[in-house]
Amino acid sequence: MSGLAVGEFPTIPASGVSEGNARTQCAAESGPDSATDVASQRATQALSRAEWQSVVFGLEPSRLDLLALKPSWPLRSLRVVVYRNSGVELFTPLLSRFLAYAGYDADFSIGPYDDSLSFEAASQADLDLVWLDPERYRLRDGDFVEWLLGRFRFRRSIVDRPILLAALPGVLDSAVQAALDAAISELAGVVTLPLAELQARLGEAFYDRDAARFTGSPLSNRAAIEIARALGLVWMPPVLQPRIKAIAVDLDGTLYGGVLGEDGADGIRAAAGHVAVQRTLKSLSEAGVMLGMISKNDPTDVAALFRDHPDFPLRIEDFAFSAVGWGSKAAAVRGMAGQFRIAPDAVLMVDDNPGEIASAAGAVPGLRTLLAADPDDAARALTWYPGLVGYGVGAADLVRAADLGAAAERDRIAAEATDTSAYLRSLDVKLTFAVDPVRHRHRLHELSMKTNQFNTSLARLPEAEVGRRIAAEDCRVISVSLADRLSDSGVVASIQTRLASRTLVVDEIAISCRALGRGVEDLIVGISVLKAAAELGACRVRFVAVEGPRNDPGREYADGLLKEAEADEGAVIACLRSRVARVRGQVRVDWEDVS
Amino acid sequence: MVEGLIEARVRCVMSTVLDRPLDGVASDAQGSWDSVDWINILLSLEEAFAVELRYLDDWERIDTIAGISEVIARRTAC
Repeated sequence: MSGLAVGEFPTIPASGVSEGNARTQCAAESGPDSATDVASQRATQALSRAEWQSVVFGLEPSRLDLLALKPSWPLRSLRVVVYRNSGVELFTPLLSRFLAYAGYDADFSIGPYDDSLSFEAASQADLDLVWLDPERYRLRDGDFVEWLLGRFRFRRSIVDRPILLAALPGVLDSAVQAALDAAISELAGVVTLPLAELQARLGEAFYDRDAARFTGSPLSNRAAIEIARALGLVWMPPVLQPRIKAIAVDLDGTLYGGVLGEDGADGIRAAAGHVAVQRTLKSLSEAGVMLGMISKNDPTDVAALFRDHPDFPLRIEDFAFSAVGWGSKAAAVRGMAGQFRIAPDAVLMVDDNPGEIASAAGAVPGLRTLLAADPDDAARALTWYPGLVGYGVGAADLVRAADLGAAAERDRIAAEATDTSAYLRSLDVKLTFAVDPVRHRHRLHELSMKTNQFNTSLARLPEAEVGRRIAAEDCRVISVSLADRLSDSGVVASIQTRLASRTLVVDEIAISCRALGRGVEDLIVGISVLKAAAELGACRVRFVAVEGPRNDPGREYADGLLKEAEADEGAVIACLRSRVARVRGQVRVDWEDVS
Repeated sequence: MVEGLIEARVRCVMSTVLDRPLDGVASDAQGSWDSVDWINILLSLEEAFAVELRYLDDWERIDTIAGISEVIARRTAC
């Protein structure tokens, strides 16, 4: 089944372009002449993507069905360099379809068969994929791990982009495999792919060594399809794009069968597929994805529904946002994003009604959508949806919901407080700073990639670059953690600095939106910059500020400081000292030992 | 008749994989497709007809659409 053809769209580079930006560019180039046309085009594209669901999320996707798919929505170009000693041609044509569903136009540059991993022809790309069959190496012991680690250290030293390593499973001794995984995990931005999990699922059907004579790979057709699906939907998106942070869930027909307003709570039944959808949503919620309920129903009926159905895995308390009424779902999604302090493109809408999907997708640029017309299909789709799975569960994910839950209480305290000092004192705010903290490397990379509002330069630093800066003598990388008596927000800020001719260049300040408006911006920036300047012996401070679509707060903060210093970079340090002194006494400040 | 139907379906599968209509003659030689297309064609035909087309003794017979159709007809009849 192919998507509806609604026009050809240009592709744009994957690096450094937000999805919202991509859509704007594409719309402008394909020439719709009014906002209505653009909304209509987005709605049609959402329905086209929904048509792909039965294939890409199918129980056993067919090669032919996948090859027949043609995307009709804007795609970001993605250049993947493949280094290999075994055939990948078996799955790359399928991988391009899964990546298209995830929003990418993949271009594979496939190198020659090379057991030595010489990494020749390093070209511009967004991602390296290293595909190895360990069977081809005579020695597969600790020396092999050391040699492989050396090759990856070399590769890491010459490129910053993410590197994915896939070694065919079941060949290496389990202790050697564990040693390899542990050694590789120490390298910034290098990820080993859990092919063994797929092998465990497919069992003997994973390999088809007879086929290797014409496919160049020992993989079976089924394994090739599943590997393409895992790569395109689960393994590659996490190194290319931010995670979906919230799911807007419909009720009738999505979480259960029946219409609440007509059948009443007693007449509602959850089939096995509905229960599976609820269970999956519940586990996503436990992994830090926030849930919102968006339903055209009566709020009292909904309260009765959850009260009268203890059999539902999801409870009403699992929803951090609720919009139950008769307004538009697009407005509800915007309200939910606002309350969660996230961009609408970090929201996935799940609804069984294609009309609602089309309407919301048309009205909310960047909104991701999943049509839940069939509950069994929807439950499976939620375990594969790109941007939703494969990210692991970081500390930041786990604290997000609790932190936002405390936001309302903070707002109340702020309204009652006479000034910022009283507000900070009443919350018992604590900031913990760390200089060059290797253990926060991934979180600092996340902050650079994800923050849009208070991000001064949108440098979007790869994890490898953050690691390089942490180790560099002439750089200081500062992380800042924030806690108060209501919640622990974890690491909320990243400050990237370097010394250039006695000037401290602040390449990027990235502060999570969860920390904004809490009266601590001056302390976060001031203490970090003053510390870095002191350690590096800088007497001037220069902020790198780059204009982006949504980063006015960050840029204006940097511009404001420079204005206060009357455009004198030498006077910025005094301005920062003065700002810090104003609130320093109201907040506990601590330094983390990173040695 | 059966072989004719099979050949029509083989053409349909190949056309989908190659993303272009095939020419009218049933002599599209294996050599005119690149190796990735050839892998995809064979695996898609195996899927579509639930047969295995990979054994060397048949390779010489499956370098044309008619040859492929004949092998499939024989194997599906077994």
